[in-house]
Amino acid sequence: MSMRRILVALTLLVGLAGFARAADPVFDPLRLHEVRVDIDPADWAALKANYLTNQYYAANVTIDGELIKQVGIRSRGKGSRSDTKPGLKIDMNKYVSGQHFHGLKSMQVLNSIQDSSFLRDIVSYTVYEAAGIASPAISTSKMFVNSEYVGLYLLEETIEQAFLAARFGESSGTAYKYEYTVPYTFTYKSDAISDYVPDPFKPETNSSSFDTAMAEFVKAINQTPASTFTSTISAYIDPQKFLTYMAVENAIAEHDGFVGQFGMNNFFFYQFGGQKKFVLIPWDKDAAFTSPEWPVMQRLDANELTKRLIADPALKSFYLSQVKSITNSFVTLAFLGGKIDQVYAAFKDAAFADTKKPYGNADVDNGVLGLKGLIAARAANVNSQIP
Amino acid sequence: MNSGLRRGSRAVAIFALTALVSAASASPPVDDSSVAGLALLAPGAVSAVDKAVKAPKEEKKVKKKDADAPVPPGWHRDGFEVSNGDFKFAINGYFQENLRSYNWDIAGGDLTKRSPTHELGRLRMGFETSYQGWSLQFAIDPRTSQTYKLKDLHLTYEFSKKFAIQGGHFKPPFSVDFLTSAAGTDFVDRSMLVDDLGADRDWGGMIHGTLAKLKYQIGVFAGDGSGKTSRSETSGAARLTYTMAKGLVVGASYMQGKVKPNVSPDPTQEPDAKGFRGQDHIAWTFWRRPHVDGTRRRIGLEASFTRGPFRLIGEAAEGREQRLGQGSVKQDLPDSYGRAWYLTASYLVTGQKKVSRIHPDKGHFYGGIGAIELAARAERLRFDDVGPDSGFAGYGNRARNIAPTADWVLSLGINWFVTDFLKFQADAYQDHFNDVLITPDPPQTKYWSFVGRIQIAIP
Repeated sequence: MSMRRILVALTLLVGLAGFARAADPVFDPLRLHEVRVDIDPADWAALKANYLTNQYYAANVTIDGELIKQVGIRSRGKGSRSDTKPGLKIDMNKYVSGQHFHGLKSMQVLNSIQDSSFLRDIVSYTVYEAAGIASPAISTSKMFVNSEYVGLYLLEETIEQAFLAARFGESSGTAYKYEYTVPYTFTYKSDAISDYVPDPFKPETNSSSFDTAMAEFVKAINQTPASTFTSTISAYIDPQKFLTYMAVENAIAEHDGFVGQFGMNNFFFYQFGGQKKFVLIPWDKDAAFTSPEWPVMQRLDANELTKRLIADPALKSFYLSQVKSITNSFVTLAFLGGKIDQVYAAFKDAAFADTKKPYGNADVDNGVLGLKGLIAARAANVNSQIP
Repeated sequence: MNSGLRRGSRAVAIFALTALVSAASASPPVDDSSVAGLALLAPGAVSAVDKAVKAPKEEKKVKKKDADAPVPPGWHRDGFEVSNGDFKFAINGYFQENLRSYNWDIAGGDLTKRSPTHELGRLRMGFETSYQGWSLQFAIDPRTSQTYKLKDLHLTYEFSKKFAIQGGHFKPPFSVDFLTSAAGTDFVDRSMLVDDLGADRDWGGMIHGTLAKLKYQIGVFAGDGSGKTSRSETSGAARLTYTMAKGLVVGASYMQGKVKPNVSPDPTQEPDAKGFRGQDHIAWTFWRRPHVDGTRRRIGLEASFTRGPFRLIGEAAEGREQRLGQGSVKQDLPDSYGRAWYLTASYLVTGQKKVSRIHPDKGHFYGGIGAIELAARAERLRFDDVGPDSGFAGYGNRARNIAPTADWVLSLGINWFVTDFLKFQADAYQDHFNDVLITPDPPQTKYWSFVGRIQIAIP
């Protein structure tokens, strides 16, 4: 067996591991799952009427036949909020102390109204995982409310203690969710932590015990001399790990991510317990796979952190090699095509039966075909950008 | 709980109150125009206790004779009370430290969902003064855990036993358990009827008096708890009690006011709900406050039978609240309500009479064992809404059909009145929740908890 074949085989194994990483069977993407919500019809109507608020409603939820009583559900999302097909957050212990589902305190139920293929999140996380970036597990599910089929959804793992412990070996730190309100690119505001937390960095775990490291991090990004930048910033992030994350983001042509079109968006920063070190976790990747011609350096100069990192020639070289390597290894039909077909085959009928989706059945087919076409063309384009 | 105050002040408070009380106990009535009550922190207080140990029944006889004798003019002091003619001034206060123990955990590990294992229960200090028909009471609780530190500040003018008028900050007349001083309750914790459905002190005015066997209290208050976030608007309250026979008293209470919902400063966030809360004696919440708007009404019935050292007392009450426009799309919801009852039996095994404040004939420091009382209480508190019990019943606090929940608690207690100023209490509670999901550690539905209290009071 040639070295190239060995590498391909290893790559596929890593990829499969990533695809099948779901710690819990409910996140197995190769199988269509089922969520049933039993709720007062008046509350369901209210949730849809108040879809822009985070008002919780009590409900019984059955996931793949397993009943969880008196959970809290609420509308979720930013631009994907909908009164026709609301995305949901299921909070297992909103009303019942200590209640969980297979160790999960909560779960996201995504409506995928901005992605007619239903696949962008699943495929994106697969690539992140294959590149060694811890990502939430995700699968597809039919959802019923009071026995009425309300559409095809995605079940996504929440970034909470269980995820952190499983992926990083500890969960005592703080996971900051980046909450987009106005465009922000990691510019310095002040030394005060209150200028960064909870807006835009909202602490989601250990939210009452966060420290000032985020403010120190931003200050270091903006005020460290170039000569010591890489070594100084290494106290807060692993530059290579961070640039690997950025390499995936541009490899999958994500236009609403860390260097998004409108400023930073759709990620978590996890600060390890007892440390000042942060690591990125991807979130909401339904805006990925924008174009096969996506520039590999897209907007890296628009963010203070990425701009200064790639100013280091060695790190820039590392970044470009990662984009190329990741694209050629994981953003290919050889790696993703078979899985896309399997996942699509599992949910296609449910997607077609979904009358709440804001697009037609042909759009679903075309969305999947378009995604596959983009993936097929992406590596060649990246290789042309990075000779 | 402010731990600094708890730890720092506790030792000082114990020392000061013990010394104060000891000195007072040792002080026979004297004609002392120097207002001796202000010099009570006298050195030698401990030796005064020793002297008092030997102050048995003879002294009581002397006191009785003194009471019958004409009072000479000028200043007098009796314990912490000084008087001169119609004028009286007395310092009062008490300190309570609670210790709790549990043999179960909270699912999820959040131990803030139950009472701490030790806490400064109360730290009350104040005074009472009277002159002719006028009387003034003042009491505060300076613990930083108290958002509203003022307890009592009220002025009363008694025209006669039949009619008095009172104004200031005080307890609205609802529930005999609520109106009993926290220093004199049969158990460390009052009934859930009071803690969850009852009112709290507020600013207001009240008339009260005794007409033969009928006692009445009728008042209007600015709300039903000046320190509470769930406070109502202007509320009326009335309580009538009737002595049917010697030791047998029945009564009824009523209170009503409007509740307006809180407004959240952030429109994307829910405001704090203001409805009744269901919380047991160890602060476990089994009924979340629903969002309410409209009339809040309380109705209560009470009865007690006292014979010598024995007392049987019970109450039943309903608290009901409107939920106008409190649905998630502003629709009216059915009223929510809580219904509670308790029945308490107590018996002083050392034979003293059961009165509002137990006075041991022969305190522990006086060669006796003080007074020992056994008590048992059964109680239940249940919440629901008045709407049809159809469809999904949820725990959400804007739910049309709120899932009913209830807690049944058995309390067993022993009270040791060591002296007039020192009291120990030990209680065991067993909670029995009807809904396995709202218990501290599902699927367990029965929970034992234990609480002890030391109380030092100015007698």
